Amino acid sequence: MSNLQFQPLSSCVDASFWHKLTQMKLDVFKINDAPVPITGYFPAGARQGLPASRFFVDHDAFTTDVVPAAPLHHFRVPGTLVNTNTLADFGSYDKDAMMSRNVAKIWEAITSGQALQNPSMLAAFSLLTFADLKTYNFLYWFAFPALLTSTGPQPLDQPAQPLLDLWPQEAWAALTPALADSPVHILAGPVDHPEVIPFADLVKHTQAHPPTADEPLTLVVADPCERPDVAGWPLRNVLACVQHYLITPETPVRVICYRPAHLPSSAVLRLRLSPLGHVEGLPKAVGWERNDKGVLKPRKVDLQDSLDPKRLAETSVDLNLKLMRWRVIPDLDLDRLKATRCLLLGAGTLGCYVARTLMAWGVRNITLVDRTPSIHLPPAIPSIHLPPAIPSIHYHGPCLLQQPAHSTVMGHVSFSNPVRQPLFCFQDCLGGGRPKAQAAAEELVRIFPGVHARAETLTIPMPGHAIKPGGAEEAQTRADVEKLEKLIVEHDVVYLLMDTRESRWLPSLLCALHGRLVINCALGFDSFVVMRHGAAPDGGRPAVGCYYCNDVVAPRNSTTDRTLDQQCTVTRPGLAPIASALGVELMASVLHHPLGPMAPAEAPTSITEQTTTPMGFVPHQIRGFLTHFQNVLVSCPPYPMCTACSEVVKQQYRERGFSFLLEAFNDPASLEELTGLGEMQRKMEHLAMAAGAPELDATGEEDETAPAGPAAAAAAHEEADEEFTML
Amino acid sequence: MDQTAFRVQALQIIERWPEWRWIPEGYMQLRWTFAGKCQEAASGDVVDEDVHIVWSQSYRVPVLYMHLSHSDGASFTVEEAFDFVSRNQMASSSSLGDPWSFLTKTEHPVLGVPFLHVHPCRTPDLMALFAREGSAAPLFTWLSLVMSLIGVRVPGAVASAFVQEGPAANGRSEEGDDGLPPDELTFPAP
Repeated sequence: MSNLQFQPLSSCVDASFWHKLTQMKLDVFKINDAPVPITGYFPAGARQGLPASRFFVDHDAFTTDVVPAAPLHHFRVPGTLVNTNTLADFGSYDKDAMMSRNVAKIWEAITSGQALQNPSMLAAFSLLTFADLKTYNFLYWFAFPALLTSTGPQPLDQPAQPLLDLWPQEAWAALTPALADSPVHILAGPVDHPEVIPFADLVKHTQAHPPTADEPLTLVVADPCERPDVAGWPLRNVLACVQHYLITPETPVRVICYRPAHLPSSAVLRLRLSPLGHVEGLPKAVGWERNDKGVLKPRKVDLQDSLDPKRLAETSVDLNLKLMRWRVIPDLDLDRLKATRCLLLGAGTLGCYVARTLMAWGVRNITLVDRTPSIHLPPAIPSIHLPPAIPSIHYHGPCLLQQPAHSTVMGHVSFSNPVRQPLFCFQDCLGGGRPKAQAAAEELVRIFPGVHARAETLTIPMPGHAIKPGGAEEAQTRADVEKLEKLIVEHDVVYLLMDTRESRWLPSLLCALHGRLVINCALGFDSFVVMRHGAAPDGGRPAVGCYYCNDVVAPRNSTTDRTLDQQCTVTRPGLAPIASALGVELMASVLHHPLGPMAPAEAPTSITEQTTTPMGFVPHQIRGFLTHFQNVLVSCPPYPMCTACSEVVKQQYRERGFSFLLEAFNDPASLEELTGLGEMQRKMEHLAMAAGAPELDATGEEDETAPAGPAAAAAAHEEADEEFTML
Repeated sequence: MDQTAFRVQALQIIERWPEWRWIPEGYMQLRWTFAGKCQEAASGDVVDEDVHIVWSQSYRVPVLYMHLSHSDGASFTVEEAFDFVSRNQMASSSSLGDPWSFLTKTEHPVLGVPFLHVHPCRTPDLMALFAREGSAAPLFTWLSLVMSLIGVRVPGAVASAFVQEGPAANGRSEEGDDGLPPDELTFPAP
């Protein structure tokens, strides 16, 4: 006769268990690694085709005051958890002692008779864990102790028989409720009227009905195995318990391996049990689980995806956008937006609002650039003139000012910033203020850890802001130009969000050169311009012009001879969020246009006009007037004499590199000569003088004769063009 | 359907389909193990499913929350879950269409644990459709549809118990897919 074989249990830990363990570790256990009671459960049988002998723990495991019900056809059993504090503790934990404590518990249950009352105690298990809460990796090792008895494996009297060969199915259907309360019962009575007796009555029952070969002691044991000739692991301790209470050797016993999950696989085993011999101390036991490679080592699971709240935030952000695709814009290309790398030049009011709106669109790569913060205040206080009748203060010279309380050290967060700039708060202003780009990038990550926010500092050199040749200043400027060009090449879209007109010149030129899409936002007091620059990624001719294509003069230093209110942010507070949001939405629309940045300027004739692309029209420029609560869409083609994006300028930079730029910084008029604007200005002056008209306005910015733009652009231009400023 | 109707219908289902249980916090739970039977599943592919049907106060519809895990306990990513659902969808010839693209991870409303869930904003249309067709047990009709997509087959006895109650459910269930074992029925999409 063959020996009875047992199939070991195979643990199956639900992620909800780890989630709960994580919570318990943080809130309850902390650094306490003392054993904690838990519960787990095993199924009685397995539906056809499913793996058998599995053992589950889930989030209910820790609920031990009122033991939760196990799912249908499953039985819950008690266990002990030890969660070690460190990986080293896990490795060096005394596993033999842990096993001994478990065996002692089972043995105590058997000898005290508690196991008869509550047979689930016979399947008590141990679990050793280590939770790495930084990476959400978990190490774990189960022990399902099986007592080794001196009488060894039980030989079978005859091959196992299917249950339903011996009892009619209807009889078992009727017994199911009575068998659900505990994993072990005794069965008595005739085949057609079987009777369920509690395991607690084992001794009484065997005394009243001494088992015989014809009427053996019949045990019904919930069995997680599904094979006909093999029994489930929990049977081992049940047999040990029965042996402990037997007095006659070779007692005939019939074990029904009860598998209600798939009743036809239930099997009946016949064997003979003898009383346990004397046990010195504790019985020996086996039962550490093998890992997935069949080795006696712990198992490991990585749950970063399902437990890390950062991942949860990411999927939730994506879902919100996906809902938009479902309901409104089926062609929304979220992956394209997500992959778009955005460079924000300026981390002030516009920069903060643009960054937040980009993040809401699911953009994950945002680099914020602000001025190199000045650690030391400028040595000399600029001369101050106080004209008697005008209360404004005139500053001459560079923009770095000695601090009035409302002003700022450039590149640092100042006290006036947080109310207008949503990525800063009061604390950022203390101690001289944190560097703006850095503070803004950190806040973005704090809002949404899934964003890759980077901070860079550099001072953008500008035409009209002279650089001393040959010295440290020139070397620094050269380094800044290189850094800016590298940043532009590394990104897909560049936002111009600075506070002076002329600081936009170099980025405009570099973006034209490298075919990067530019979104340009500039504010006046109650008007704004938001525009895209024409970009031709493959070197072709752009469809629309850039910021400077409307100008007939080169950009110059706009900070000299300006009053403080002209230099600092004096705009209606709602203007920046409006302009920033329009800028981001313009980008989203352009990216959804089949031609992308090459899209021509579109302007709907009426609000009801059918849109051409999923996201709608892609205008060139939006000029907004808060005084009238109106936006005007204007456009201009690329201007062949443009000081920033024309071919001749790009060619000069390609050929002469930094020395060309240096010339432009020191002498903006050289740009006018280069592009032919100078020649044109002289011709116009000549014509005007010949006609006796007044002299052309030297600034040219508001000149209606600007040849590049249509009349509408020129008219709109007047209003929005003071711009400058957003600190 | 309101929350009370949800509870009443849920208890009716549980009475006939005892694998489900009612959780006192107010939702139905099913633990299910799926063994790769659909054509494209790798052999030995076992999926442990913890399925919860929770009432959504804001959408006033039942919402499917589920946790799918591999046999080693590792959770399904959203992508894996989407593949799993797609395979079942092909195998069962049922279709819920778009909503399954909105399968995502979210916090379980009662347990506070990350669960996969199908966003409920399409469900009201579906429930309204069942109501228009006069389904006597709209929750069961919806459940059968949804379960087939996660590989849970409605037991034949359970289906027939509901079939006897409503003409709408009756009409649909008799169109049971020929490719299925005789004791199991699915409900093709309306």
